[in-house]
Amino acid sequence: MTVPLLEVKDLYKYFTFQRGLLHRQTFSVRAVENVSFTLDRNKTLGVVGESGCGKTTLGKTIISLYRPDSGQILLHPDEKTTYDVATAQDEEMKAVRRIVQMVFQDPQSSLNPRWPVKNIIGEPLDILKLVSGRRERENMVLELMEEVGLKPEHINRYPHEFSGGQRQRIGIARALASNPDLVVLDEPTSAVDVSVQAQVLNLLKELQRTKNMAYLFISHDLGVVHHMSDEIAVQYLGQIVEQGPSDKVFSDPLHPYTKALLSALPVPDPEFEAHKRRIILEGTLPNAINPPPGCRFHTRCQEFLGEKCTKECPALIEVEKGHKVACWRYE
Amino acid sequence: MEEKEVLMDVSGLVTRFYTEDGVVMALEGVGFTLYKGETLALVGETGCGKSVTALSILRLLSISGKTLEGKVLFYDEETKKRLGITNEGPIDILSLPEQDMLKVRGYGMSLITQDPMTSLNPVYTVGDQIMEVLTTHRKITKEAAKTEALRLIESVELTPAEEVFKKYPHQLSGGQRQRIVISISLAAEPALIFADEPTTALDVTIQAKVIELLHDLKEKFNTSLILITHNLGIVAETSDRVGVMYAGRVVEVADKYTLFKRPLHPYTQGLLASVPKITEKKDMLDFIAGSVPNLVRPPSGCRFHPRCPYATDICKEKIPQIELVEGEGHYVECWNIEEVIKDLDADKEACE
Repeated sequence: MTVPLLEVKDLYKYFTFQRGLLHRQTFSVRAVENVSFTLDRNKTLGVVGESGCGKTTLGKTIISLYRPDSGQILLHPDEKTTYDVATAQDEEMKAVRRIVQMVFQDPQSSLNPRWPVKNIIGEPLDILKLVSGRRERENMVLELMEEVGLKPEHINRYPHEFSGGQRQRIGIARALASNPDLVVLDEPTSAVDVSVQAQVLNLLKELQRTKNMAYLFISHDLGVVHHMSDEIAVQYLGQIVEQGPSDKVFSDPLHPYTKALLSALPVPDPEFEAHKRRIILEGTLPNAINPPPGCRFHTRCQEFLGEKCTKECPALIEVEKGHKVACWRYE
Repeated sequence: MEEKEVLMDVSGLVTRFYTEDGVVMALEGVGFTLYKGETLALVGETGCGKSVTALSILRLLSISGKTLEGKVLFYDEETKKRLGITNEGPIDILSLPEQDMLKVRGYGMSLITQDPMTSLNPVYTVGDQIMEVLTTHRKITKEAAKTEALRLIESVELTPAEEVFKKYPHQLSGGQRQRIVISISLAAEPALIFADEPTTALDVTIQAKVIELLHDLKEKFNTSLILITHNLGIVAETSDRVGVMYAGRVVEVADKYTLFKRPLHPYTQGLLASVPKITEKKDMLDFIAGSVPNLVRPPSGCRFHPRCPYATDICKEKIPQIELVEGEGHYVECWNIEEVIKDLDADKEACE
């Protein structure tokens, strides 16, 4: 059996802050709690959830923009090598940076407005010492621009001279510069319009095919995630509550939260809408500083079982092949 | 089919914004008809003029914006009575004095904005803000206004109403704030509500709740609704008829079933095909080449022609007019509509 590209084991990330008189009270936001999954090369794992569920924190922890509190993030670029992103330092970290890259949500704020495209895309090449000499660097930048569908004559332009869709292409080219094995895509199309979104999604699929990359695709848009992903993880208040093959999760959701989420999603097909049974969740998303005890979802659950749900947190168990759920109903 | 009563008739709206970068040709002859009790969705991408249409009708454009041409005829008898207009015919909204317009924005029309954090006043309690509408637009005492405000809070399913009444906007969640905005928009019992991206700032599960509420209240109060959104899913879910906007023009109008099943304008076709759906899985999405034009220098003729697969010479020169194309109320503006229909029928035959 071949090793997966990425193995995340029991990952925890809390954000702690002090409040109150003399800052004596300590609070923590439980952004990522007990998250484990694996991702094979060339595959896409979609992470969905509502705002504040910790999906962006998960992505940022995996590319080591945050250090996890505990747990392992194991990268296997080949059969023999293993890096743990959670503890990597110096030289190891540099190797990790080459292997894992990220495309951010808002190209407006993730691109330096004072830099021309040449420098934005070229920076990772310099830092990771992937090119020698200016000529080679420029050629490499031009090649990357062509790959993402930017015109080579725009190499000296600044971010504000591009449209939203093109700016996101710059962000993608920058992520591709180091020829990564894994790219974390954090809501890559939420800032662009529908007709442009389709262009960007097609580009990402195309690139995945030609470059054999794995994607961790983070989004709140279920339609987009379904389109892009082989596998899907549903996150609620820091925890993964359901995970499985994309088609399976969408056609046969197991967790009550996934069911509600899917039924709440308006589908652009009036006839489908007219016959849909809708589950409307009561209440709002609880605060991640003080999450409900037991199953996190029990306060809003339409299939609430009773005391058990309020006391103990269910584990993520495999119900069918590859389809996992964390719910007492399936124990 | 029963005769539908017209509530508002909008025609030839031309709105411009005078900015540092030049004159933005935001609306270029927008027109549509709204019937009593219906939900009309205006859909389109950023900058197509859907919000500007609402603001032009409500006459709430910022100082740099001006509506130069067009007519908005409002057929609401109740509003006419309140304004003391006795002559026959509809109210001509764009020529009303500002004094009367203040009343129209209350009895006649109201607006639900996208972001409830910026549309509510942070230093007043939500109760005060609901009461303000009531005491301004209805001649009632403070006590009566309070009872009414509590009733409104209850009608948007926020309980206990007494407690919510005393809260400040920051003490409520996004979904709760948007419900308060909805209750304010209903307070003067208007004939028409504009909802401008009412759920864009909200999460999917909260959005479902707010949309359902909006729909129920619309039925209960018997108001008409103009729903402005870029989300085609919400359109399919809530509207009766749909107007598709592109670069300051309404390019296609149809009832929602027809529009989703048989879109005729090349832009509508492209837009619908480019949305990933959970009901089907495709390897690659269809897309519209290019991007939305800059309206300081809009393309000549039909504004969609640089991105249109059907474009011919005439499209570059003259703006097409919206015309009834098929069946009941399917309007499209396109010079090459015959070609489009031919292709659609050919595809259909090929499928069979």
